[in-house]
Amino acid sequence: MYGIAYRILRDQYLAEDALQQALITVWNELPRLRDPDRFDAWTYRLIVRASTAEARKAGRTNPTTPLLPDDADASRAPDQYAAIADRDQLERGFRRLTAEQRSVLVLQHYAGLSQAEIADVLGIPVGTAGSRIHYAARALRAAIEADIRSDRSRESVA
Amino acid sequence: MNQTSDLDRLLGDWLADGPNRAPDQPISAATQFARAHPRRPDPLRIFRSDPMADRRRSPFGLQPGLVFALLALVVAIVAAGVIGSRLERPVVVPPSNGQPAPSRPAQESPSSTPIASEPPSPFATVALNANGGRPATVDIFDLSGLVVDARSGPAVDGVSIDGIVVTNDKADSIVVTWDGSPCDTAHRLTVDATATHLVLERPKCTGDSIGRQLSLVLKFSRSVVASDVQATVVDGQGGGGLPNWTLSGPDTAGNVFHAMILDASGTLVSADSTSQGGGGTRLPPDTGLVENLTPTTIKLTWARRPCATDEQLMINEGVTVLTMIAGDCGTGTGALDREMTLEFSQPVDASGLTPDVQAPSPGPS
Repeated sequence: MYGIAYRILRDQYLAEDALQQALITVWNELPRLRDPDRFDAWTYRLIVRASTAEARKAGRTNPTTPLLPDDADASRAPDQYAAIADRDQLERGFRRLTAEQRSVLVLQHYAGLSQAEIADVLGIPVGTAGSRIHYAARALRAAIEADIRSDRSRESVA
Repeated sequence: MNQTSDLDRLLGDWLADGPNRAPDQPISAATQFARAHPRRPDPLRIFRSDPMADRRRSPFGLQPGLVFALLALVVAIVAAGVIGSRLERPVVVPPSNGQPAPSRPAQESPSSTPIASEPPSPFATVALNANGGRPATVDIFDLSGLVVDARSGPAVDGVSIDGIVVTNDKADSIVVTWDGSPCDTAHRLTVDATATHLVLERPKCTGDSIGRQLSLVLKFSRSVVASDVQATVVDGQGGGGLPNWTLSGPDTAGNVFHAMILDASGTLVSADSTSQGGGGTRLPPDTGLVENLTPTTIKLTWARRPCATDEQLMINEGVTVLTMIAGDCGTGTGALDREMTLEFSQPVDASGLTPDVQAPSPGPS
């Protein structure tokens, strides 16, 4: 749970607060959970919810990242993303996503959940989960590209 | 085609880096909370909604236990009617699993078994010294029986501590000081049975206002060593009578109001005031309107006169009724629209939501 919170929030202290809130909710709400097989999905839901709430409280989300058009990828060199040697660039791009976008990417790429499992965790239809994953990945690409463009403009000015 | 998979692979590798093991502090804090809030058997558990249940699958949108209880109640009423018509004498229908029983004869003695116990009363409610900021109170629940007095300590503008700090005032009293914000107005402090763990609950709120410190002095019937007392601050949970959220905002003319939200559903994720300027109104006074912004987000618009500065919003467990109550103000013309957005963790259908905006009382003057 902490691993998920940390990766969504990218902040140790916010992740600790989110974990604490999620654990307290587990304590309070556990008697209401009737199907033990859904415990894992439920705890994922609680930690994602607590992380999203922490992100909102901290005002760290920035939903204004512009999205590139769909055909923007066509102009990119095949090894463009492989060239992101500097992980700070990925970090900066990831931080520009909303907490909801970060959540689906973390559930997919870190927790290894399938689209259907993500839908179950978030309590949304499978199709909606698929579209959230798609748009989150697209927003991440756009944020990284915006970062690359601003680096290039700085270099050309220099 | 490879670009997406390249990004996926990079993202996967990057996310794999980082801590996987939780530090001790949040687990310890949650354990303290659990100690201070022991679970008791819940006689109405069957009626509580399953947090992972798909509401759309449930017949009539109700819980299976509730559907069963309603059916049992209907059968009991029909049976009582049939038997009663034959015997022509009063028939007593026993309460059915917490559902209200049909009217019983006047000579029937009341049931000796309460269906649900009353929530415990606080040891004391202390008005905190807020140093001119928004008034704040704390309800104190003492499970140890050792607290003999409670009073406010001084408030300080700005924050010089991180979290919550306990220090000794005298040998038998401690000062609990915590960092907060002006929107923290309602608190609950629980002292556990051993008087070594304190849990302070407060509503969540949004805003970037300057923080403030609040403090409380607790006197015990025996000596207490502050360093032996562990204290934790947690966000208020759904239900339980403590507001989950507080927010402040302007109406369309910029008049400030404050709202406390009591969310019995436990599904409220965020609440924000979103009133726009312009001074306009589109609603009659003390009425409301609910619209969906997204499947999980609704906008509540309601109209009040500017004198109704303190509002309380209650969200019922099924998120079907929003009850808005204002402090003393009175009725009349000159109401302006106020707006807030409420985001929930589950889809909410605004067309099935009833805004119950109650007119404020005239007040003492």
